[in-house]
Amino acid sequence: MMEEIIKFLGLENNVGQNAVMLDKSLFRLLESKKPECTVYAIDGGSATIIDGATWCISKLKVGVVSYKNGKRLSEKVEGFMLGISKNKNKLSSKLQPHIEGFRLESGKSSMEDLENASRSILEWLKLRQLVLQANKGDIILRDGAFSSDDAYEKSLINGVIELCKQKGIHLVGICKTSRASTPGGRPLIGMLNEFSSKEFHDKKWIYDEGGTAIAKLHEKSDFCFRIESSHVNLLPNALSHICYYSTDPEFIGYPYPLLKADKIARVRDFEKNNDNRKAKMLAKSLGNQFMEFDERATLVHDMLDKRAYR
Amino acid sequence: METIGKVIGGTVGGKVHIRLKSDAKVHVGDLVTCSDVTNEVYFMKITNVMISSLIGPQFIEDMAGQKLEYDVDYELFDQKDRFYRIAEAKLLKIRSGSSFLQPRAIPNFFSDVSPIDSANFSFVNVKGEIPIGSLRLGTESISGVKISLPAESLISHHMLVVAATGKGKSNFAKVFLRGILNLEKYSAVIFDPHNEYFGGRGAKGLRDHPLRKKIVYFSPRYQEVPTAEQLKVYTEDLEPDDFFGIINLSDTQQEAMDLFRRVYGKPWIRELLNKPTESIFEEFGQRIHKATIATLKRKMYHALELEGSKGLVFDTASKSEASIYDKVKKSVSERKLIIVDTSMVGEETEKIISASLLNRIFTNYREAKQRDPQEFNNYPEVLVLFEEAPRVLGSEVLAEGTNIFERIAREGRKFKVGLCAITQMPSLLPREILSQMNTKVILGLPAPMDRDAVVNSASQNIADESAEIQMLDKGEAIITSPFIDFPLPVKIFHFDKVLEEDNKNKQITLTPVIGIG
Repeated sequence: MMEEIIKFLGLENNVGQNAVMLDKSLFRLLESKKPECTVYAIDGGSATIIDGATWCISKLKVGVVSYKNGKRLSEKVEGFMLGISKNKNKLSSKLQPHIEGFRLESGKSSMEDLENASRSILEWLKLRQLVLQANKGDIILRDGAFSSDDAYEKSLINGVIELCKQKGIHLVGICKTSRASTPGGRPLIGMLNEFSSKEFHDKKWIYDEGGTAIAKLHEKSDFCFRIESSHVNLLPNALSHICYYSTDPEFIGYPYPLLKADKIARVRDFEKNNDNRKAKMLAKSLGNQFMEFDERATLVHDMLDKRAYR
Repeated sequence: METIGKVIGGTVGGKVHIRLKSDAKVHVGDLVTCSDVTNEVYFMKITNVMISSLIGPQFIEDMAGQKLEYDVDYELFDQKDRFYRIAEAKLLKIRSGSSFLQPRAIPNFFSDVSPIDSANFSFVNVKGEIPIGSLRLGTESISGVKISLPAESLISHHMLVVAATGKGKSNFAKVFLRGILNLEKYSAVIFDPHNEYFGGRGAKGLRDHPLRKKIVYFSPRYQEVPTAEQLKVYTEDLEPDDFFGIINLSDTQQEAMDLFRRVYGKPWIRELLNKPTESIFEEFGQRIHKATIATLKRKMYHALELEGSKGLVFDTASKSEASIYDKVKKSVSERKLIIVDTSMVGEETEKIISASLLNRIFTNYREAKQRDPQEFNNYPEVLVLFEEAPRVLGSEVLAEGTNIFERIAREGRKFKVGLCAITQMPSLLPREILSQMNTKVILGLPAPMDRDAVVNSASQNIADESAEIQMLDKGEAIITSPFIDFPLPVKIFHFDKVLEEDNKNKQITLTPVIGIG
């Protein structure tokens, strides 16, 4: 059964081609340099606290950390609650506490999409604040690409990148997943991984074919990432500093400040449970009984999950 | 006060968990304190320290492997956040206002934990007359906080000193005896199989103490020491009881010995040894088997180490001077320290010497109490110190029959006679005997069986201290006793040093009452 599938993927769709077509000259080796500047990292997290089928309450978090000379300077996490309601197939939302500039374009098809879009916009708004307080030469790492399908978010992103350019702050996006593919149909990252394991074994490198940059940030890492940058010309230098911060053995080859930002921005299970209880109690005290009943419309899956053999 | 950690959990009956500050120096055995919103002050003892992390164990294993297997050049960021130590502590006391309470509460989450400072030592409420050391915090001793043990309670309630070789048993014993010597109320009889308590040949001993006149030293080498008395025992002074439970004797042999004593009177051993087996056989109307007589002769020669009619200690001749037993009884009544050097005799002979002496002392005290309780009140409490306790109190020995050591362990406290048993292997002592030894001075014990034996028979729950007992260094002790509130960590004084101090202050005040301070 599996053999048939592999044949289908490799032969009939031609994704299994060998990684021999890459241009070796597009690779540049990276050095690790301890930066003197401050390196910031920002990441967002979200989770649905209560899902009432036609409404939901979500928790959104944005975490920011800063490092200098290998030592952490600051760590800040901000939490928001988002209420989403669906009425006649129209989604409406409310964010608390309110943040200047937060706006959602209509047209999101699901509550989950709306939650994700909200988190992303919050991240960019916070990123703008961060750029305003950072100094020239500082590096800001963001988890993810500088693109969006949402027009408002796109304008936000462009504004932030422009601000970075004006202030001389290098914004670098580290994309953990990439769907970019070669003309032959293989994922570009898979191809690069295979190629570099033979040609640049035990090396840190950046592959830049103009527009798309992929980098491996530690010689012993098994992963490489697509990189976006506000200052493409300065990217190799910034990456050498990022390489220095990618030497932590908890996830070697991934910038530690981003790992830390991810940890603090994550909505943990105990937070979810806590907020779920709080919301229901508050609703009752306000005379609204609907929450517990509505929640049962979506709860069975979770309950089966908890009872499943693992 | 310096904060070394924060409370992160625990139970009253179990342990308090403390996350330690990255640079805090904390060792097992340290005493720490913390107070919370209730304003109660908690005194705790660190019983274990472990490393911990929020990162899952398999990731940590992987991180270690990256360096080991692939020599990955890595740098740990936020090390203090991610890799830290957790200490487990045992609640000892709670101070509420000015009173100290048993620990029936627990400090709140995130209460600051600090090392104990000198202002807080009043909770170590031990008042005694025999200074034995300083309060120990882990590996450091607090020289300003002296620990003195209460002699009166301790002596007649028996003590057990346990330690592996080289951990300081003899030093503790000498320090304790020096304490008794400085008091005028007590007497002690010390059986010294290594001739180390009296001192000599370059080694300091009790003879170097300014109150050396209170010491009576019996030795077979009495000519070498001007003040020594000869360790000589006339067999006329021995009774069959002195052998029972001490050397291996069958019931038939014991009955035969009783018969000899009744028929021959005091010189029963001389008669047994001098007369031919055949003639004794006939004399007792063939009631005692020849083999029994012959075996007893052989056992006597062996146990008393006789060569002809006398040996190094025992003599079968008629008594021509005061017996050693009378001399010892007199010295005890004069509140002296009696040291019996048994280093030159074999194990069985040594046991007979000590058992016979103990029999006389105990009988004297017991009879005095029955005869005249008023007069008995004037008798000093007497401590009997002996080494290699399992030789006379071991399970295997007592399975063969009871002896005077066991009897004193059971009844001694009623008659003011206390044992101080020293051993490396407490696991060889029966549980009943271990329980009778109310005070236990525990120096380092690496063997788990021995630790379990002591832990299971201690006056306080010291199960949590098992790891600490294993790690105790030379001269470090934990003392448990019904007369102390909690297991006391002590750094025992070095005998030579306290001796030096005693000699500096030659005017020793007798019976000083020293508590903490």
